[in-house]
Amino acid sequence: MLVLAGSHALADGEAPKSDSVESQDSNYKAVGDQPQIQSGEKLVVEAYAIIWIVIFGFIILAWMRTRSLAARLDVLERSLAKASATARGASTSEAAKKTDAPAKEAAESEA
Amino acid sequence: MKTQDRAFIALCVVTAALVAVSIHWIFLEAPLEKSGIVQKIFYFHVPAAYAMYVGAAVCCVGSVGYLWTERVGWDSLARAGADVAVAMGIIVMTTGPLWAAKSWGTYWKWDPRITTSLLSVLVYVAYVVMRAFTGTGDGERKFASALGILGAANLPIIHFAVRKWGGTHPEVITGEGGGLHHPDFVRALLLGLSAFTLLSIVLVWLRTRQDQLATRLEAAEDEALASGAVED
Repeated sequence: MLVLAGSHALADGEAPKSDSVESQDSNYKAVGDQPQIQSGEKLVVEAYAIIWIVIFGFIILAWMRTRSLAARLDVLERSLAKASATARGASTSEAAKKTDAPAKEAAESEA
Repeated sequence: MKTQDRAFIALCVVTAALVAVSIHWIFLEAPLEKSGIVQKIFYFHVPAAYAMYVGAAVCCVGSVGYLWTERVGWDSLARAGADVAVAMGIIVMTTGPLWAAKSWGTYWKWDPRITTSLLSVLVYVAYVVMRAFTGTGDGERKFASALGILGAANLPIIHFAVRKWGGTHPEVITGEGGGLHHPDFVRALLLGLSAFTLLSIVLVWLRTRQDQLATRLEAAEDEALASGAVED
């Protein structure tokens, strides 16, 4: 809606005139008895610094969350690998026992 | 690389380019307005407010979606929207007073639009803090969804506060006193709006994917624990 309103304003805007810039309703409107703060440059620098600090802060927080997820995933993968290795070892020894049992029985019967 | 990843990287590149073009236009092409260089804050202050609306709307849609379907993906979307609403809200609530310092001679005024905007930001800060310090159960998610919907209810009040109650804050976009009569001002504003819209989409996408991954990881950890495959 804002973009459409802006486009409308752009469409309505005539050729750039220097007086159109000067005729903005942007005069100083003091609240109470406050004096006008003169350093506009400083305020602009502060505003843009805050914008980028917030955006980079958001990205850094997201990156830290990703690192935390990756660490949890590593722990889970290691635990699963360890568990599967243990399970594989147990099944191998059981299988070995099973294959050894008939051979033992045969040897005993021969004896 | 998946198609989704490629699309995300492409969106990031386009967003960065648009932000760069926007800064170039704001500082090198748009003429100085009568109030001086401080008016350059306007080109990111208004788009940040718009991006806050985008984040809040995404949070509301995600919240309604979760309450309707109880699918965790919707909750991730709501959470991402709230995060973006807070980040953009902080930008709005800090750049606005800096601009006001020059335009009004004071950093803060309890103006209807400013007050309702602050209220909205505080609602989303409450949402984010609540999500950070509570669990991920169904009850917590439903409570957060209700808060997400409540937060969105304040948005029309912010928008119409100037028309309804007046105040010092100008009605920038649709009013006659906002100062958008020069085409270069409008172009700079449109570039800023486009850049911040894309930026909010990138941030929502990033946080949604992260939250979905965290949910899947948590489910895998629970499953592994329940099956006895891993120890606590």
